[in-house]
Amino acid sequence: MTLRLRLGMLAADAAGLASRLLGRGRGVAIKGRVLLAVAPGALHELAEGRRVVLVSGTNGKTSTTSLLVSLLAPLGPIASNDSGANLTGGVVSALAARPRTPLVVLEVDEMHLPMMMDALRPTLLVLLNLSRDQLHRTQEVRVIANRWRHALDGHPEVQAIIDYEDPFLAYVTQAHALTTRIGFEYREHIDAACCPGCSHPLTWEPPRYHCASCGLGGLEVAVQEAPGDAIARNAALARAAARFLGVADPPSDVTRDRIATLQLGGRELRLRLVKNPASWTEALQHLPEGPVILAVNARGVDGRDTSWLWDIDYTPLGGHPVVVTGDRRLDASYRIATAGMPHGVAPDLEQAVAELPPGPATVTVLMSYTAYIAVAS
Amino acid sequence: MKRIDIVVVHPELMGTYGDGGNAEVLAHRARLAGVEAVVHPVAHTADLPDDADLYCIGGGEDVAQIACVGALRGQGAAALAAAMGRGAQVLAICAGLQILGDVFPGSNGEAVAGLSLLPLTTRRGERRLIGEIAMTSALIGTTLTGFENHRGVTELREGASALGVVTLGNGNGIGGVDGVVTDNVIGTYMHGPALARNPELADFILRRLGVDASEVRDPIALAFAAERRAAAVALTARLRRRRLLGRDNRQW
Repeated sequence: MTLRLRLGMLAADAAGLASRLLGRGRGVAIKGRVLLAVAPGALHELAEGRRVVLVSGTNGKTSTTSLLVSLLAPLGPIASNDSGANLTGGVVSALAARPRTPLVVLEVDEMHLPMMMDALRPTLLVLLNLSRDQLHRTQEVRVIANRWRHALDGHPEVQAIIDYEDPFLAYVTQAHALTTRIGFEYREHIDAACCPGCSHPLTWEPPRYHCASCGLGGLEVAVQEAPGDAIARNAALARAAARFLGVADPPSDVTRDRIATLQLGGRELRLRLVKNPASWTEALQHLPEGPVILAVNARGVDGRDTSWLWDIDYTPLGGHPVVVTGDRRLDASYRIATAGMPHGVAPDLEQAVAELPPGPATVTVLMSYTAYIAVAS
Repeated sequence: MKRIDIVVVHPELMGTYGDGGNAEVLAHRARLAGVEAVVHPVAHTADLPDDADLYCIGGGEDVAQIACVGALRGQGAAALAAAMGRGAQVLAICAGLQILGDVFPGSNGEAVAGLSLLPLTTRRGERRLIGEIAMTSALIGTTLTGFENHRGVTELREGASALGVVTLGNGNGIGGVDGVVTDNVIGTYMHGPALARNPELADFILRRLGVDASEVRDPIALAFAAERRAAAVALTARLRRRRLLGRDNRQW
């Protein structure tokens, strides 16, 4: 370890401690920023000589990283940022917190993946999915897919494990030899009307999408998994990753989901984070019995545009008592009114619970990011 | 009972921002006015019918927009022109508005020929125009609000009229106006559920189809439209203060 890196780590610890003492949070991001300011090469240095696994995608990064870390427990201690700090600061903090573990498992923001691949030289990439997310802030999905593909071109030595039902991931790895393509049940992709590679309209028919022009979607898959939701798919990708890394028989009954619970007004609220059309659709298609509260905000990281509310099929809400809340509750209210869904409208979560008819104790709450963070933390 | 048929043109290509919602809103309000309304999504692989009352064309990413215009050339464009000739109406949003003009920019800024059904041309602007948009529309008689996200600068030919005068955001990106209005077409950069946020605009289109929705009572729609208009006023004031302080007035 270089002197500069040692100094950086000392300064980072001091900054992290100060942040905690001042009550400014856990200090993960600030530690990383201080470390990088003192030792700009810290990412690369701290990753050298270690096996690095990167998990990325639009949805499910945190839960899948956390699951993968638990599946890899038999291999010894692991450095990981499984709390969700997935930008440069969070990643370097995780590496510095446990600088000597031979194995590193990191969740990485989609836009940062190419840069992290150059700096960290990963052994394995676990690519979960790519879909539209805050279009006003990030790029069109195909721009991110192109960047990923270019990054893989520069790293022919890295193994990739992907969900082949996602045409963007199929395109990213189309020419990458070391790819394990996992097949799942047929499902349509909300943002892939046209081929991510050649722009020809894709044919969407079971068993899988297909591009009549360039042949995307026509490769053999390594494994065909049983039907399941996004959580099951991510768990299957995590198991494949664990097997690749040397865990002989990873348990198949373990999953992770970002669900928090809250007791309010005599009901148990199961809070589920839904942050883009793909995750809303996924959550609605696998809705448990009982009442539902939809909490829609449009602040900062949520994306300020609520137009996507009109891209979602609300039929699964039929028969559930529904109340909408959040800053943009009227957007949601009018949207589901035109879909013929009776519902209540409430200014906050507490009053939303009070609006619900008596019935089952468990209430599902689908929440956009800022609504979720305000309650879950 | 009177009935209107609404075609949604190539929703699998042209519907990135919930533009399908406009057909839902028109059908919803028509039904509240006692008129039967049927929404027909028509894929790019199918022929475009020439006997509908209303055609909704949404927005899409560059490649989808080019695939859409490619599929419409020939039969689709002829069907649309024939329908417009008999008085059918068209609602064209963002990329849908651009393809009805003479020319629009492709993925790399190259000029792509449009269907020349509207007196306008579009070129690529300097930067993407993203954010809340508001305008006063003398034609509709109220403030319209929406959300825009595009990089097109659309120039109307002499004699063509705009939908509104922009008070927040950018719209066409030239001349301080948004959209276009002809006898048969309402075009705008307000994407997604533009008609959900502006029930008066929905009713204007319905009136052109012979449906009187002026007696419709829909308190949820009115509350939503009023809330968005108040939000646009507040945002306009906030941006003006920022401009006075010499700061960037972009919403992002």
